[in-house]
Amino acid sequence: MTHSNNLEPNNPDHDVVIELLPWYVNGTLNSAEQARVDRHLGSCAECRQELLLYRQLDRQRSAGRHAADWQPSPAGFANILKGIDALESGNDTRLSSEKTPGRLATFSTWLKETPRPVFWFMSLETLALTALVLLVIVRLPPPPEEHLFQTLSNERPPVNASLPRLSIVFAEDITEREIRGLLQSQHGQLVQGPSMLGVYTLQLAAASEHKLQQAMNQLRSHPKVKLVEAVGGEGRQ
Amino acid sequence: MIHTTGQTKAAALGEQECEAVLMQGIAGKDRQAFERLYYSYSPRIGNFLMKLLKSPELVDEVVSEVMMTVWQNADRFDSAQGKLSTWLFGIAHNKALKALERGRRHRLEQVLETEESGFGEDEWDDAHAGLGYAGPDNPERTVLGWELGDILLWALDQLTPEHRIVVELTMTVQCTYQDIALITGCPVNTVKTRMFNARKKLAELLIKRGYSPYDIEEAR
Repeated sequence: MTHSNNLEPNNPDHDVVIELLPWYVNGTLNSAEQARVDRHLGSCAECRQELLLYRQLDRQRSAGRHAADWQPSPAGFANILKGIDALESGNDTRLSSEKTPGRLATFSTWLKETPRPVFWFMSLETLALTALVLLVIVRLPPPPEEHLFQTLSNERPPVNASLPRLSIVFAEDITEREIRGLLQSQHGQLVQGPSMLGVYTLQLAAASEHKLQQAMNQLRSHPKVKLVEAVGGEGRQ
Repeated sequence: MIHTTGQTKAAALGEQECEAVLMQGIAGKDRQAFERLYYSYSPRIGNFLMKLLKSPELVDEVVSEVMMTVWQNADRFDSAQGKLSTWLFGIAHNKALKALERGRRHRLEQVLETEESGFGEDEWDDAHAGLGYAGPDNPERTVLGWELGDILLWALDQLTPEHRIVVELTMTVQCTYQDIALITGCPVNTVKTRMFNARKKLAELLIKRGYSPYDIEEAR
């Protein structure tokens, strides 16, 4: 550090010595440092002047060194032992100032210490941020419904137990188009199959006895249908 | 443990070894060793704290905190790292700063209350500096018995805790600047700079109150 008002600008010792003066006054410099300060003081008026202030300070504080401003007391030591006993018995009743304040207390202190303009600015900022987040959440598109998109492989035709069902076996050479034509003509749909034996279950839209019989007759008359039977004994051939 | 034989042995050892033995005893939860430490070191620590904290009750509290910390952490003391007094003053320094911070917050709350009640800042400063309205230029100061040394004491009270601590450790505790660096956890150059800045601030305050800092010695 270079000090201003240096009356000994050409003396390289000056900056070092002026910083050592407080410890020259309290007598804690080593012998080499002390000799250096002594030598310099002989030629530096500024440092001699600085020394006056430090000596005055030392005089002021030396009164404190010798006057017993504070004395230990048996009661004080007994209190410390009491604190230790409490600590060691697991009931830490140490001085309250030693305890770490809780998060709520810390937050409360922080709130108290925050200057008002900063506090209001931060509050407004928080409110604006909250509003923005809410806006984003509200405007987000709804999640896709579970059955909005399906692949052909996972289509499950509705099965209605009250509707008549038929077991049907197609000829080996029947085409998919012919099957579709058959189903459309009977207003039916395949709800199960083929089984190991090539049997499909066909559910018909018509629930009346007459219509069921009519459908069975029409299906049986088709050259590429090998077998038609009502499921569960419903066949009224 | 410090027993009779231990004490005899310790007397033959150097100061450093003696301190190490004492601290080993405390680390081993020897309450007699702890009591010896309390009565040997707490007066210096207490007087140092009094310069900073001013209140005997507060000093009692902080000395207790220091001693509790010593009891709990005695095994951490390493005599090879420095003197026991340096270690103890390091703990006291930290506790004092915390206590001063608590005091500062408390005063801040008081100031806010004072401002709300219309009491001026300058008036508050003077009242709390213990000067009332009797500055050095005021004839009242003679009546009230103000002396030049009181002005210096007042000026010391105006320093920041960091500056004040360096001044007190130097002038009251009579530490070396190397020990102050260890106590405050600062580089040696920072200690010297703080002391230099403290002196500069003191000089400014004295001039502000109508004194030349260099006249004080002559006036006495």
